[in-house]
Amino acid sequence: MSTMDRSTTAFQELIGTMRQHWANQLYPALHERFEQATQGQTPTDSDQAGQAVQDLPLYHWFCFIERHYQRMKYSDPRWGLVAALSARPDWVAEQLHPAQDSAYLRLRPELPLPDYYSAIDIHQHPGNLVGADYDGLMYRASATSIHPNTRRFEAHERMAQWLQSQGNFLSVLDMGCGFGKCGFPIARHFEQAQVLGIDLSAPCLRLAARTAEQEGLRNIRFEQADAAQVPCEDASFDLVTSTQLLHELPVEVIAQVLAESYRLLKPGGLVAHLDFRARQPWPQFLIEGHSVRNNEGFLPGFNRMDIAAAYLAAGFEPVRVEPFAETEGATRADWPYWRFPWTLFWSRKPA
Amino acid sequence: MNDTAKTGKRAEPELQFFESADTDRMAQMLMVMAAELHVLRDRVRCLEFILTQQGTLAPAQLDQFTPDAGQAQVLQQDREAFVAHLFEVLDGRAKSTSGRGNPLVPVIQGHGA
Repeated sequence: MSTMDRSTTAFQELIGTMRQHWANQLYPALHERFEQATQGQTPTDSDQAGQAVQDLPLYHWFCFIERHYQRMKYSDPRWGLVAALSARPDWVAEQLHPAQDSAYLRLRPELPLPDYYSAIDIHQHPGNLVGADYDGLMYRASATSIHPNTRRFEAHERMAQWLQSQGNFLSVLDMGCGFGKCGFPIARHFEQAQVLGIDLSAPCLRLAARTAEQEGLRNIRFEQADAAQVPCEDASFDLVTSTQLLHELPVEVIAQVLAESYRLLKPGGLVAHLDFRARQPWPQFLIEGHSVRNNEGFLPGFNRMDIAAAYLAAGFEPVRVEPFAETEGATRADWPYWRFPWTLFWSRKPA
Repeated sequence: MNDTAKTGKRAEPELQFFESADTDRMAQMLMVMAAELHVLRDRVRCLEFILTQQGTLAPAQLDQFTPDAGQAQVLQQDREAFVAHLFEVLDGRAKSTSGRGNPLVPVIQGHGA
Protein backbone atom coordinates (compact mmCIF):
# COMPACT_ATOMS: atom_id res chain seq x y z
CA MET A 1 0.00 0.00 0.00
CA SER A 2 1.91 2.99 -1.24
CA THR A 3 -0.28 5.41 0.67
CA MET A 4 0.87 4.12 4.05
CA ASP A 5 3.07 6.38 6.10
CA ARG A 6 6.75 5.52 6.49
CA SER A 7 6.34 3.90 9.91
CA THR A 8 3.49 1.65 8.80
CA THR A 9 5.39 0.69 5.68
CA ALA A 10 8.49 -0.16 7.74
CA PHE A 11 6.38 -2.18 10.19
CA GLN A 12 4.58 -4.16 7.49
CA GLU A 13 7.89 -4.82 5.72
CA LEU A 14 9.23 -6.15 9.00
CA ILE A 15 6.23 -8.47 9.30
CA GLY A 16 6.91 -9.81 5.81
CA THR A 17 10.58 -10.33 6.62
CA MET A 18 9.65 -12.18 9.81
CA ARG A 19 7.36 -14.48 7.83
CA GLN A 20 10.13 -15.17 5.34
CA HIS A 21 12.62 -15.94 8.11
CA TRP A 22 10.06 -18.16 9.85
CA ALA A 23 9.47 -20.16 6.66
CA ASN A 24 13.04 -20.33 5.40
CA GLN A 25 15.09 -20.52 8.60
CA LEU A 26 12.98 -21.62 11.56
CA TYR A 27 10.98 -24.23 9.68
CA PRO A 28 14.01 -26.08 8.21
CA ALA A 29 15.59 -26.09 11.67
CA LEU A 30 12.42 -27.55 13.16
CA HIS A 31 12.17 -30.14 10.41
CA GLU A 32 15.77 -31.13 11.04
CA ARG A 33 14.98 -31.65 14.74
CA PHE A 34 11.94 -33.71 13.74
CA GLU A 35 14.10 -35.91 11.50
CA GLN A 36 16.62 -36.36 14.30
CA ALA A 37 13.91 -37.29 16.79
CA THR A 38 12.22 -39.81 14.53
CA GLN A 39 15.49 -41.19 13.11
CA GLY A 40 13.98 -41.65 9.69
CA GLN A 41 10.98 -43.62 10.97
CA THR A 42 7.65 -42.30 9.69
CA PRO A 43 5.26 -41.59 12.57
CA THR A 44 1.99 -43.48 12.54
CA ASP A 45 -0.12 -40.33 12.64
CA SER A 46 0.02 -36.57 13.10
CA ASP A 47 -0.20 -36.85 16.89
CA GLN A 48 2.93 -38.98 16.95
CA ALA A 49 4.64 -36.56 14.58
CA GLY A 50 3.83 -33.77 17.00
CA GLN A 51 5.21 -35.66 19.96
CA ALA A 52 8.62 -35.58 18.30
CA VAL A 53 8.86 -31.79 18.56
CA GLN A 54 6.24 -30.48 20.94
CA ASP A 55 8.59 -30.14 23.92
CA LEU A 56 11.27 -28.30 21.98
CA PRO A 57 11.68 -24.58 22.69
CA LEU A 58 12.18 -24.15 18.95
CA TYR A 59 8.70 -25.53 18.33
CA HIS A 60 7.20 -23.21 20.92
CA TRP A 61 8.77 -20.21 19.19
CA PHE A 62 7.80 -21.54 15.78
CA CYS A 63 4.16 -21.62 16.91
CA PHE A 64 4.33 -18.33 18.75
CA ILE A 65 5.77 -16.44 15.79
CA GLU A 66 3.28 -17.98 13.36
CA ARG A 67 0.46 -16.78 15.55
CA HIS A 68 1.73 -13.36 16.46
CA TYR A 69 3.33 -12.12 13.27
CA GLN A 70 -0.12 -12.43 11.72
CA ARG A 71 -1.88 -10.87 14.71
CA MET A 72 0.48 -7.91 14.64
CA LYS A 73 0.05 -7.49 10.90
CA TYR A 74 -3.66 -6.92 11.33
CA SER A 75 -4.13 -5.73 14.87
CA ASP A 76 -1.04 -3.85 16.01
CA PRO A 77 -2.65 -0.72 17.44
CA ARG A 78 -0.21 1.68 15.77
CA TRP A 79 0.91 0.16 12.49
CA GLY A 80 -1.43 -2.78 11.89
CA LEU A 81 -3.63 -2.88 8.81
CA VAL A 82 -6.78 -2.02 10.77
CA ALA A 83 -5.14 1.10 12.15
CA ALA A 84 -3.71 2.07 8.78
CA LEU A 85 -6.88 1.60 6.74
CA SER A 86 -9.42 2.89 9.23
CA ALA A 87 -7.50 6.18 9.31
CA ARG A 88 -7.80 6.63 5.53
CA PRO A 89 -11.49 6.45 4.59
CA ASP A 90 -11.09 8.73 1.58
CA TRP A 91 -8.31 6.63 0.09
CA VAL A 92 -10.30 3.47 0.80
CA ALA A 93 -13.34 4.89 -1.00
CA GLU A 94 -11.21 5.67 -4.07
CA GLN A 95 -10.12 2.04 -4.32
CA LEU A 96 -13.64 0.57 -4.28
CA HIS A 97 -16.45 0.26 -6.77
CA PRO A 98 -19.45 2.20 -5.48
CA ALA A 99 -21.86 0.06 -3.47
CA GLN A 100 -24.32 -0.05 -6.35
CA ASP A 101 -24.91 -2.39 -9.25
CA SER A 102 -23.12 -1.94 -12.59
CA ALA A 103 -21.81 -4.04 -15.46
CA TYR A 104 -19.10 -5.23 -13.09
CA LEU A 105 -20.97 -5.72 -9.85
CA ARG A 106 -24.18 -6.97 -8.34
CA LEU A 107 -24.58 -6.79 -4.58
CA ARG A 108 -27.26 -8.49 -2.52
CA PRO A 109 -27.27 -6.71 0.84
CA GLU A 110 -30.22 -8.82 1.91
CA LEU A 111 -28.23 -12.04 1.54
CA PRO A 112 -28.02 -13.71 4.98
CA LEU A 113 -24.53 -14.63 6.14
CA PRO A 114 -24.17 -18.28 7.18
CA ASP A 115 -23.44 -18.83 10.86
CA TYR A 116 -20.10 -20.48 10.14
CA TYR A 117 -18.95 -17.41 8.21
CA SER A 118 -19.16 -15.08 11.17
CA ALA A 119 -18.08 -17.68 13.74
CA ILE A 120 -14.35 -17.02 13.33
CA ASP A 121 -12.06 -14.14 12.47
CA ILE A 122 -10.54 -16.21 9.69
CA HIS A 123 -6.79 -15.57 9.23
CA GLN A 124 -7.07 -13.43 12.40
CA HIS A 125 -8.71 -10.80 10.17
CA PRO A 126 -10.64 -8.77 12.78
CA GLY A 127 -14.37 -8.99 12.17
CA ASN A 128 -13.74 -11.26 9.18
CA LEU A 129 -14.35 -9.98 5.66
CA VAL A 130 -17.74 -8.40 6.10
CA GLY A 131 -17.40 -5.66 8.70
CA ALA A 132 -15.77 -2.62 7.15
CA ASP A 133 -15.46 -1.13 3.67
CA TYR A 134 -11.71 -1.68 3.77
CA ASP A 135 -11.90 -5.43 4.47
CA GLY A 136 -11.10 -6.40 0.88
CA LEU A 137 -8.16 -4.03 0.78
CA MET A 138 -6.96 -5.42 4.09
CA TYR A 139 -7.22 -8.99 2.83
CA ARG A 140 -5.29 -8.06 -0.32
CA ALA A 141 -2.58 -6.33 1.69
CA SER A 142 -2.33 -9.26 4.06
CA ALA A 143 -2.05 -11.79 1.25
CA THR A 144 1.30 -10.33 0.22
CA SER A 145 3.06 -11.85 3.25
CA ILE A 146 1.18 -15.15 3.55
CA HIS A 147 2.91 -17.14 0.83
CA PRO A 148 6.69 -16.99 1.19
CA ASN A 149 8.95 -17.89 -1.74
CA THR A 150 6.35 -17.15 -4.40
CA ARG A 151 5.80 -14.14 -6.59
CA ARG A 152 2.68 -12.13 -5.82
CA PHE A 153 -0.36 -14.24 -6.76
CA GLU A 154 1.89 -16.72 -8.56
CA ALA A 155 -0.26 -19.70 -7.53
CA HIS A 156 -3.28 -18.16 -9.21
CA GLU A 157 -1.37 -17.51 -12.44
CA ARG A 158 -0.19 -21.11 -12.42
CA MET A 159 -3.75 -22.30 -11.82
CA ALA A 160 -4.94 -20.38 -14.87
CA GLN A 161 -2.12 -21.98 -16.89
CA TRP A 162 -3.17 -25.42 -15.67
CA LEU A 163 -6.75 -24.71 -16.70
CA GLN A 164 -5.52 -23.83 -20.17
CA SER A 165 -4.05 -27.30 -20.39
CA GLN A 166 -7.51 -28.72 -19.81
CA GLY A 167 -9.22 -27.06 -22.75
CA ASN A 168 -11.02 -23.88 -23.68
CA PHE A 169 -13.79 -22.54 -21.49
CA LEU A 170 -16.38 -19.96 -22.44
CA SER A 171 -18.38 -19.68 -19.24
CA VAL A 172 -16.60 -19.78 -15.90
CA LEU A 173 -17.79 -19.60 -12.30
CA ASP A 174 -15.19 -18.65 -9.69
CA MET A 175 -16.58 -19.52 -6.25
CA GLY A 176 -15.35 -17.57 -3.23
CA CYS A 177 -13.59 -15.16 -5.57
CA GLY A 178 -12.53 -12.68 -2.89
CA PHE A 179 -10.95 -9.56 -4.37
CA GLY A 180 -10.44 -11.31 -7.70
CA LYS A 181 -6.99 -12.81 -7.32
CA CYS A 182 -8.14 -16.07 -8.91
CA GLY A 183 -10.64 -14.76 -11.44
CA PHE A 184 -8.42 -12.13 -13.06
CA PRO A 185 -5.78 -14.58 -14.35
CA ILE A 186 -8.59 -16.77 -15.71
CA ALA A 187 -10.19 -13.80 -17.45
CA ARG A 188 -6.84 -12.88 -18.99
CA HIS A 189 -5.99 -16.42 -20.11
CA PHE A 190 -9.48 -17.09 -21.53
CA GLU A 191 -10.24 -13.88 -23.37
CA GLN A 192 -13.33 -15.34 -25.04
CA ALA A 193 -14.80 -16.51 -21.74
CA GLN A 194 -17.35 -14.79 -19.53
CA VAL A 195 -16.17 -15.14 -15.94
CA LEU A 196 -18.48 -14.71 -12.97
CA GLY A 197 -16.93 -14.35 -9.53
CA ILE A 198 -19.13 -14.87 -6.49
CA ASP A 199 -18.39 -14.22 -2.85
CA LEU A 200 -20.21 -13.39 0.37
CA SER A 201 -18.01 -10.39 1.11
CA ALA A 202 -19.29 -7.11 -0.33
CA PRO A 203 -16.04 -5.26 0.51
CA CYS A 204 -14.05 -7.85 -1.45
CA LEU A 205 -16.47 -7.73 -4.37
CA ARG A 206 -16.34 -3.93 -4.52
CA LEU A 207 -12.55 -4.08 -4.70
CA ALA A 208 -12.66 -6.81 -7.33
CA ALA A 209 -15.14 -4.87 -9.48
CA ARG A 210 -13.12 -1.68 -9.22
CA THR A 211 -9.92 -3.49 -10.12
CA ALA A 212 -11.56 -5.10 -13.17
CA GLU A 213 -12.89 -1.71 -14.22
CA GLN A 214 -9.47 -0.06 -13.83
CA GLU A 215 -7.71 -2.84 -15.74
CA GLY A 216 -10.25 -2.73 -18.55
CA LEU A 217 -11.20 -6.39 -18.16
CA ARG A 218 -14.53 -6.67 -19.98
CA ASN A 219 -15.11 -10.40 -19.53
CA ILE A 220 -15.41 -10.65 -15.76
CA ARG A 221 -18.08 -9.53 -13.34
CA PHE A 222 -18.84 -10.13 -9.70
CA GLU A 223 -21.94 -10.99 -7.69
CA GLN A 224 -22.62 -11.34 -4.00
CA ALA A 225 -23.75 -14.94 -3.58
CA ASP A 226 -23.25 -18.03 -1.45
CA ALA A 227 -21.36 -20.85 -3.19
CA ALA A 228 -23.64 -23.32 -1.42
CA GLN A 229 -26.71 -21.77 -3.06
CA VAL A 230 -25.82 -19.98 -6.28
CA PRO A 231 -28.58 -17.97 -7.99
CA CYS A 232 -27.80 -19.29 -11.50
CA GLU A 233 -29.58 -21.71 -13.78
CA ASP A 234 -28.60 -25.38 -14.03
CA ALA A 235 -25.83 -26.13 -16.56
CA SER A 236 -24.76 -22.50 -16.87
CA PHE A 237 -20.99 -23.02 -16.92
CA ASP A 238 -18.37 -25.21 -18.52
CA LEU A 239 -15.87 -24.54 -15.73
CA VAL A 240 -16.56 -24.21 -12.01
CA THR A 241 -13.53 -23.40 -9.91
CA SER A 242 -12.39 -22.05 -6.57
CA THR A 243 -9.09 -21.36 -4.85
CA GLN A 244 -8.60 -21.66 -1.09
CA LEU A 245 -12.35 -21.79 -0.51
CA LEU A 246 -13.16 -25.34 0.59
CA HIS A 247 -10.92 -25.40 3.67
CA GLU A 248 -12.76 -22.42 5.10
CA LEU A 249 -16.08 -24.34 5.08
CA PRO A 250 -17.67 -26.89 7.41
CA VAL A 251 -17.79 -30.37 5.90
CA GLU A 252 -21.54 -30.28 5.33
CA VAL A 253 -21.21 -26.99 3.43
CA ILE A 254 -18.43 -28.45 1.29
CA ALA A 255 -20.90 -31.15 0.23
CA GLN A 256 -23.39 -28.43 -0.71
CA VAL A 257 -20.74 -26.55 -2.70
CA LEU A 258 -19.85 -29.72 -4.60
CA ALA A 259 -23.53 -30.37 -5.30
CA GLU A 260 -23.85 -26.81 -6.62
CA SER A 261 -20.69 -27.26 -8.70
CA TYR A 262 -22.35 -30.29 -10.30
CA ARG A 263 -25.72 -28.60 -10.84
CA LEU A 264 -24.17 -25.52 -12.42
CA LEU A 265 -21.87 -27.38 -14.81
CA LYS A 266 -22.82 -28.35 -18.32
CA PRO A 267 -22.41 -32.07 -19.11
CA GLY A 268 -18.71 -32.74 -19.63
CA GLY A 269 -17.81 -29.58 -17.74
CA LEU A 270 -14.72 -29.30 -15.54
CA VAL A 271 -14.76 -28.76 -11.78
CA ALA A 272 -11.38 -27.74 -10.30
CA HIS A 273 -11.10 -26.68 -6.67
CA LEU A 274 -7.58 -25.66 -5.65
CA ASP A 275 -6.94 -25.98 -1.94
CA PHE A 276 -4.74 -27.66 0.66
CA ARG A 277 -4.36 -31.27 1.72
CA ALA A 278 -1.80 -32.97 3.96
CA ARG A 279 -2.34 -36.61 4.88
CA GLN A 280 1.22 -37.58 5.79
CA PRO A 281 1.79 -37.28 9.56
CA TRP A 282 4.35 -34.43 9.58
CA PRO A 283 2.70 -32.06 7.08
CA GLN A 284 -0.69 -32.89 8.60
CA PHE A 285 0.61 -31.95 12.03
CA LEU A 286 1.92 -28.67 10.61
CA ILE A 287 -1.15 -27.63 8.64
CA GLU A 288 -3.65 -28.55 11.34
CA GLY A 289 -1.53 -26.67 13.87
CA HIS A 290 -1.55 -23.74 11.47
CA SER A 291 -5.34 -23.94 11.40
CA VAL A 292 -5.46 -23.36 15.15
CA ARG A 293 -2.84 -20.63 15.17
CA ASN A 294 -4.35 -18.77 12.24
CA ASN A 295 -8.04 -19.21 13.13
CA GLU A 296 -8.93 -21.58 10.33
CA GLY A 297 -11.12 -23.85 12.38
CA PHE A 298 -12.68 -25.79 9.53
CA LEU A 299 -9.42 -26.74 7.84
CA PRO A 300 -8.88 -30.00 9.80
CA GLY A 301 -12.39 -31.19 8.92
CA PHE A 302 -11.71 -30.56 5.25
CA ASN A 303 -8.27 -32.13 5.46
CA ARG A 304 -9.62 -35.32 6.98
CA MET A 305 -12.85 -35.71 5.00
CA ASP A 306 -13.29 -38.36 2.33
CA ILE A 307 -13.14 -35.99 -0.61
CA ALA A 308 -13.33 -38.78 -3.18
CA ALA A 309 -16.62 -39.95 -1.71
CA ALA A 310 -17.91 -36.37 -1.60
CA TYR A 311 -17.20 -35.83 -5.31
CA LEU A 312 -18.86 -39.14 -6.19
CA ALA A 313 -21.87 -38.31 -4.02
CA ALA A 314 -22.25 -35.03 -5.88
CA GLY A 315 -22.38 -36.98 -9.15
CA PHE A 316 -18.90 -36.35 -10.54
CA GLU A 317 -16.54 -38.78 -12.15
CA PRO A 318 -13.80 -40.03 -9.77
CA VAL A 319 -11.90 -37.00 -8.51
CA ARG A 320 -8.20 -36.50 -9.24
CA VAL A 321 -6.31 -35.31 -6.16
CA GLU A 322 -2.94 -33.92 -7.26
CA PRO A 323 -0.19 -31.95 -5.53
CA PHE A 324 0.01 -28.44 -6.98
CA ALA A 325 3.22 -26.43 -7.21
CA GLU A 326 2.51 -22.82 -6.29
CA THR A 327 5.98 -22.01 -7.59
CA GLU A 328 8.50 -23.99 -9.63
CA GLY A 329 9.82 -26.97 -7.70
CA ALA A 330 7.64 -26.51 -4.62
CA THR A 331 6.29 -30.07 -4.69
CA ARG A 332 9.74 -31.64 -4.83
CA ALA A 333 10.38 -34.02 -1.92
CA ASP A 334 13.50 -32.08 -0.98
CA TRP A 335 11.82 -28.63 -0.98
CA PRO A 336 13.34 -27.25 2.23
CA TYR A 337 11.01 -24.41 3.18
CA TRP A 338 7.66 -24.20 4.89
CA ARG A 339 4.75 -24.11 2.43
CA PHE A 340 1.07 -24.71 2.27
CA PRO A 341 0.29 -28.20 0.94
CA TRP A 342 -1.39 -26.92 -2.23
CA THR A 343 -3.55 -29.63 -3.81
CA LEU A 344 -5.81 -29.65 -6.86
CA PHE A 345 -9.11 -31.53 -6.71
CA TRP A 346 -10.53 -31.87 -10.19
CA SER A 347 -13.09 -33.93 -12.05
CA ARG A 348 -15.74 -33.68 -14.72
CA LYS A 349 -19.47 -33.89 -14.87
CA PRO A 350 -20.33 -36.95 -16.96
CA ALA A 351 -21.14 -35.97 -20.55
CA MET B 1 -19.26 -2.83 11.35
CA ASN B 2 -18.43 -4.50 14.60
CA ASP B 3 -16.25 -1.95 16.39
CA THR B 4 -15.32 -4.44 19.08
CA ALA B 5 -13.98 -6.80 16.45
CA LYS B 6 -12.06 -4.12 14.60
CA THR B 7 -10.36 -2.83 17.71
CA GLY B 8 -9.53 -6.38 18.67
CA LYS B 9 -10.82 -6.18 22.23
CA ARG B 10 -12.05 -9.72 22.65
CA ALA B 11 -13.01 -11.36 25.90
CA GLU B 12 -11.30 -14.58 24.90
CA PRO B 13 -7.85 -15.46 26.31
CA GLU B 14 -5.01 -15.41 23.81
CA LEU B 15 -3.50 -18.75 22.72
CA GLN B 16 -0.58 -19.89 24.87
CA PHE B 17 2.55 -21.49 23.42
CA PHE B 18 5.04 -21.49 26.29
CA GLU B 19 4.82 -23.10 29.72
CA SER B 20 3.35 -20.06 31.39
CA ALA B 21 1.17 -17.18 30.25
CA ASP B 22 3.81 -14.87 31.71
CA THR B 23 6.34 -16.13 29.18
CA ASP B 24 3.92 -15.67 26.31
CA ARG B 25 3.26 -12.10 27.35
CA MET B 26 6.96 -11.42 27.72
CA ALA B 27 7.52 -12.79 24.25
CA GLN B 28 4.81 -10.54 22.87
CA MET B 29 6.48 -7.58 24.52
CA LEU B 30 9.66 -8.60 22.80
CA MET B 31 7.88 -8.60 19.46
CA VAL B 32 6.61 -5.10 20.13
CA MET B 33 10.08 -3.96 21.08
CA ALA B 34 11.53 -5.46 17.94
CA ALA B 35 8.95 -3.69 15.80
CA GLU B 36 9.52 -0.40 17.56
CA LEU B 37 13.24 -0.72 17.09
CA HIS B 38 12.95 -1.58 13.43
CA VAL B 39 10.53 1.22 12.61
CA LEU B 40 12.70 3.69 14.45
CA ARG B 41 15.85 2.56 12.69
CA ASP B 42 14.06 2.76 9.36
CA ARG B 43 12.84 6.29 9.99
CA VAL B 44 16.19 7.53 11.23
CA ARG B 45 17.98 6.03 8.28
CA CYS B 46 15.48 7.56 5.84
CA LEU B 47 15.78 10.90 7.57
CA GLU B 48 19.54 10.79 7.34
CA PHE B 49 19.27 10.01 3.65
CA ILE B 50 16.97 12.95 3.04
CA LEU B 51 18.90 15.44 5.08
CA THR B 52 22.22 14.39 3.67
CA GLN B 53 20.85 14.64 0.15
CA GLN B 54 19.65 18.14 0.93
CA GLY B 55 22.98 19.08 2.45
CA THR B 56 21.34 20.21 5.67
CA LEU B 57 22.83 17.65 8.05
CA ALA B 58 26.36 16.97 9.03
CA PRO B 59 26.86 13.78 11.07
CA ALA B 60 28.05 15.56 14.21
CA GLN B 61 24.88 17.63 14.46
CA LEU B 62 22.79 14.69 15.73
CA ASP B 63 25.03 14.04 18.70
CA GLN B 64 25.24 17.71 19.59
CA PHE B 65 21.50 18.35 19.48
CA THR B 66 19.61 19.56 22.60
CA PRO B 67 15.80 19.84 22.39
CA ASP B 68 14.01 23.03 23.44
CA ALA B 69 10.93 22.89 25.70
CA GLY B 70 8.45 22.28 22.91
CA GLN B 71 10.60 19.62 21.35
CA ALA B 72 11.07 17.98 24.73
CA GLN B 73 7.29 17.78 25.13
CA VAL B 74 6.99 16.02 21.77
CA LEU B 75 9.64 13.54 22.81
CA GLN B 76 7.82 12.91 26.07
CA GLN B 77 4.55 12.21 24.24
CA ASP B 78 6.39 9.77 22.00
CA ARG B 79 7.80 8.02 25.07
CA GLU B 80 4.37 7.72 26.67
CA ALA B 81 2.84 6.27 23.50
CA PHE B 82 5.73 3.82 23.27
CA VAL B 83 5.20 2.57 26.82
CA ALA B 84 1.45 2.18 26.22
CA HIS B 85 2.20 0.19 23.09
CA LEU B 86 4.74 -1.97 24.90
CA PHE B 87 2.34 -2.88 27.69
CA GLU B 88 -0.73 -3.30 25.50
CA VAL B 89 -0.32 -7.10 25.51
CA LEU B 90 -0.52 -7.45 29.26
CA ASP B 91 -4.30 -7.77 29.43
CA GLY B 92 -3.92 -11.22 27.86
CA ARG B 93 -6.84 -10.76 25.50
CA ALA B 94 -6.91 -12.18 21.99
CA LYS B 95 -6.74 -9.52 19.31
CA SER B 96 -8.64 -11.78 16.98
CA THR B 97 -11.08 -14.50 17.93
CA SER B 98 -10.07 -18.11 17.37
CA GLY B 99 -13.61 -19.44 17.30
CA ARG B 100 -13.01 -21.59 20.36
CA GLY B 101 -16.22 -22.29 22.20
CA ASN B 102 -18.26 -22.09 19.02
CA PRO B 103 -19.95 -25.46 18.50
CA LEU B 104 -19.32 -25.19 14.76
CA VAL B 105 -15.57 -25.18 15.27
CA PRO B 106 -13.92 -28.51 16.05
CA VAL B 107 -11.24 -28.49 18.75
CA ILE B 108 -7.83 -29.86 17.81
CA GLN B 109 -5.64 -30.61 20.79
CA GLY B 110 -1.93 -30.04 20.95
CA HIS B 111 -1.59 -26.93 18.81
CA GLY B 112 -1.57 -24.20 21.41
CA ALA B 113 -5.25 -24.74 22.21
